[in-house]
Amino acid sequence: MSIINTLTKGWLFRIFTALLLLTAIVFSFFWDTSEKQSTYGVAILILFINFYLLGLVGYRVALLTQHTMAKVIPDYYLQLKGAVKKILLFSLLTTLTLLPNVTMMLGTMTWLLVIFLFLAISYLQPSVWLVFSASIFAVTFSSFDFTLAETNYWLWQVPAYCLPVFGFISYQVINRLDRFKMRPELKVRYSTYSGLSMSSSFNSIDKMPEKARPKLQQWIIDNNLVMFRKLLRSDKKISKLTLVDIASSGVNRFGKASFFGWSTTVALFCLYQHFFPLSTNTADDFYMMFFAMFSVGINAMGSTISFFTLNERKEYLARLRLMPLFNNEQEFSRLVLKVFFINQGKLLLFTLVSSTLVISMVWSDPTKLLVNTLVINTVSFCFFSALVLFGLHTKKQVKTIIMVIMMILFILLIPVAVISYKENIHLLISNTTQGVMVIGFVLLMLALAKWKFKVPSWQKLS
Amino acid sequence: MTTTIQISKLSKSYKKQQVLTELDWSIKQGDVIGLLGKNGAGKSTLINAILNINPADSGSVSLLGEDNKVLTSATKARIGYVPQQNDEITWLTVKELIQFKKQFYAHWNDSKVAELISRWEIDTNKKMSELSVGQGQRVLIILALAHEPDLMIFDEPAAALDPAGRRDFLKEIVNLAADENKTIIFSTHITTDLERVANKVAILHQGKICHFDDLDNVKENVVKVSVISDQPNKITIPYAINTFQDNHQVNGVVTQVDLQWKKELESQGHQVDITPMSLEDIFLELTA
Repeated sequence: MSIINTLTKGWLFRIFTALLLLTAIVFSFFWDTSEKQSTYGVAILILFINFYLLGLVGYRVALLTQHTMAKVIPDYYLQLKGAVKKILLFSLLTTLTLLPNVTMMLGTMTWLLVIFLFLAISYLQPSVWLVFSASIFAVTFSSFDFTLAETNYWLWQVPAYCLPVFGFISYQVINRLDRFKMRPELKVRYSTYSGLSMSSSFNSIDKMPEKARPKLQQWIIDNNLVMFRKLLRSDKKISKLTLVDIASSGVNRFGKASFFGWSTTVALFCLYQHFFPLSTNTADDFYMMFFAMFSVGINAMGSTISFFTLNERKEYLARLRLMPLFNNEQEFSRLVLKVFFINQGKLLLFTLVSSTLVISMVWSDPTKLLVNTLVINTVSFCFFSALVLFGLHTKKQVKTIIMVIMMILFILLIPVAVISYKENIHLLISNTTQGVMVIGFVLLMLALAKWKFKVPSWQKLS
Repeated sequence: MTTTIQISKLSKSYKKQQVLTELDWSIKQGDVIGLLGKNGAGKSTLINAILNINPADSGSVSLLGEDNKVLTSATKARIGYVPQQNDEITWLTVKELIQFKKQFYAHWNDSKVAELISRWEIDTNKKMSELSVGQGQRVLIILALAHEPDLMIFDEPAAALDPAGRRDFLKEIVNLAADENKTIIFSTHITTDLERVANKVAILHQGKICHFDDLDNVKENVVKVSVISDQPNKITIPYAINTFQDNHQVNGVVTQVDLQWKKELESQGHQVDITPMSLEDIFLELTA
């Protein structure tokens, strides 16, 4: 297998990148590129695609530079550097979709190189991600107009002139890949992230040594699970439901700290909005996009985590159900189901409460948006929960299918949220939405019926 | 003696690979059985099917007198199991994990747990994710013994232990085996471990228990037989699982020595030698 194949391994990753690129090409054809806003849309999409591509490939590059056999394999670094150069070149070529706007194309190329350099630094010093996230947050939700001539100058023209400088720096960085020195704990962490598979990453985090986890992540994990620990350290009798909840919880569990973190984000969101109210349509769109991703994303993330944790724990749960505490298999399955719905319910409630808060702070006429958000979240709750229940019930290993469907649903629900807002559509009274809601509800009922009438298969899946 | 486990026509396959094929096996109370099998022979599959952790495709298993698919709480409380892989909850400390597991059983021997913890020098404040593989394995063994089960099933329990840990674990099994009511099954690759503690040996090969007998009987019966003769082509060794000829000598491994046949050959002037074999060699011959 060539190094390029190793770096880009994973059909899901390749398909996702190809799909995004295709979207960018389609947009560049159909959008009126004489309109600045449309060109910006394509440029931002290009940057996003490459951030994803370079980010994931970068974890593998970082790991390959630390390969123990690197020093004894002939031409190892030469080939690795060659592969990185080719991938970076491919990444830069995606900016061709911005033609005939040459300034914008060159400016985007520079931004791509900035992303590349940022990622290279982040693999050595992950704390730069905090600075990055804060900057993105500030820029994305700032009320400045992206379409102004002055913004255009600083955002694209100046970077376009800087391309040779960043090109030279990037080239030098690639040529020095063999001097890359990484902390051992980062190596363990990156081997988890570089799987490029959601399921393997979720489950590997569970098995990752504590020292390899980022401190913030460890703090969140500890605090998410602290109530279980306290309970186990006390001499109190623990209910069957809680015992099943403990057994079904991985380090990815959404708990106190996660909800605190998300609440803080929501509060920051509201505060920011209070001091820098939306003034332009562009900012409004960004806000809307982020908000849709936030609410649907939390539901999707919660369902995905529940699914992968339970799916990975099947054999453990199979043993647990044999414990004398449970009268029969049906009782155990009912408890697992109950735990799942309690956790899903908490997520849904949190999403709805925070959505209501944000919507009433940001938008002046929030009623329709509130109802739409409620509809979208209910639909996502039904579909995601049904998928998880079907996936867990079956004897076959269906984690990839479940993940793909969840991802598609997630991607579909975001434009639905944005379009319904922009086009002033009432989702609750739309026939299509009503149909989708009925389908979601029926699917959920079918999944529940399946669990009720047939005990799920807890056997380990290969 | 009562039958603890009765297996009848048990079959299990993964995709197209048949792992267990109409396997029949009967285990009596008080048996301490070493289950031997090559890698991938299906030892873990068999154990998981016995406990209904990973149900079989067909066949039936009776555990302590009950169908393994509908075990009562009382019967479940009499079973202890150590899986091959430690998949315990990683984020709990050993102390918390013990407390967690304790909740599932009506009877729990705290002093036994404390004694093993101290003897095996396990830091109970460490999380499971912080323990070494061997330490983690020891915790699993403690958890399996804490409720003092009558039937204990260990799936390669000593594989991750260092020599001292293995010896200690085997000592614990010997102590348990002293109680005639306890039935122990442990799968292993390490034949020396088996010889130390087991009173019976079962060999799993090609989806079936191809050999199951008292350890002493196995060592006494499965031997190497050599016959020196001028007409080696005419010699057929009874009960031989494989034979090969080397000039005037015919060699073979038999599952049983036919003394009558031996006497007859010797009376005809042939020389018949019987050489005992190590358990490891027996295993290799039986599964060749």
